Amino acid sequence: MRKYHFPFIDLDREEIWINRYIRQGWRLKDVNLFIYEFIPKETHTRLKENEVPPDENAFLVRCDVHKFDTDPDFENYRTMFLDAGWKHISGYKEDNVQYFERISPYASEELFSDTVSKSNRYLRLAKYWSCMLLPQLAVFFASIHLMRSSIWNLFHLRELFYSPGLWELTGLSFWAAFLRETPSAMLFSGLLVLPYILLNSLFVITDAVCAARSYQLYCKKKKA
Amino acid sequence: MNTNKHLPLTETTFYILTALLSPGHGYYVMQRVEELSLGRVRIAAGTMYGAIENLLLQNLIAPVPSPDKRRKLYQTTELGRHVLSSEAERLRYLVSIADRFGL
Repeated sequence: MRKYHFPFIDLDREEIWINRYIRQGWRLKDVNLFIYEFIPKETHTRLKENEVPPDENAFLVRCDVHKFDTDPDFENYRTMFLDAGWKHISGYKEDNVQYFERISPYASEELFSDTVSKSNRYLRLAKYWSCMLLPQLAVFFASIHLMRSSIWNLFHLRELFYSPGLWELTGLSFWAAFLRETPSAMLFSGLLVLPYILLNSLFVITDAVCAARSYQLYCKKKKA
Repeated sequence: MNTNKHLPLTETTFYILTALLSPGHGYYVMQRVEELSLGRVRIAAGTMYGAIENLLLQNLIAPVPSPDKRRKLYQTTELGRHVLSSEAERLRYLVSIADRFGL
């Protein structure tokens, strides 16, 4: 079964949303940005020898936030959670959100035993988004700087058409010459950078909003 | 060795540093802490991993060569030991005050 949800920043709300399906008899198989793939609990294969039958909180999903520089670090992290009864479901090494499911009835029901370490997830998220934001911001200012000349061009569009006597032509011959010149005029005007700047600003806004929101959540949850 | 900036230790940190006086991996520490505290302190996996990262940064514990490729081993450093004994001294003094007031 596939479910879709706009990407969460509030991990606690994400856990609640996912676990609603877990309690209805599903297991989370994979998460891909906004696609959540669930499989029925019956397809569960035994993960450990002499495994005790799962309790009502089996396969409960919890999220952690971590990224890793090396494979052994990532492996060490996942092994430690598996030892403690939490199986890694989804999340890449360079990613930040890591999804775990509770496979042992001996495991705690939470991934964190105090509010400070639980809220620290949001601080790591905020750091991640700020790191994403900085290079985008640099590109943004650089392209604005480059665009300044293009803005001037916007008011002098005629001068970008270099064919002599173009504007004196009339009728069909004018349009033929005009259309032939248009691509190069566009190129010279620098207006082609515009869609790129729009895309870039979209990234800047997303990163900034995510960074601010995670930091806000960090401050809120730390006090809770 | 100045250990004052690390004091006082949280209960969790105290238990982790004590558990790691002999080398152990993450899950070993979780079990050992539960044992040492007679089941009163249970550190969850996420909290444990964060705590280890933190203690590594503060040089209170250090990685030691591990025979198991998938599990890193850690051990309390010399600094960690000093911090532990300063903390124990601090706690002993507090207990002596409590005794004096008949608490």
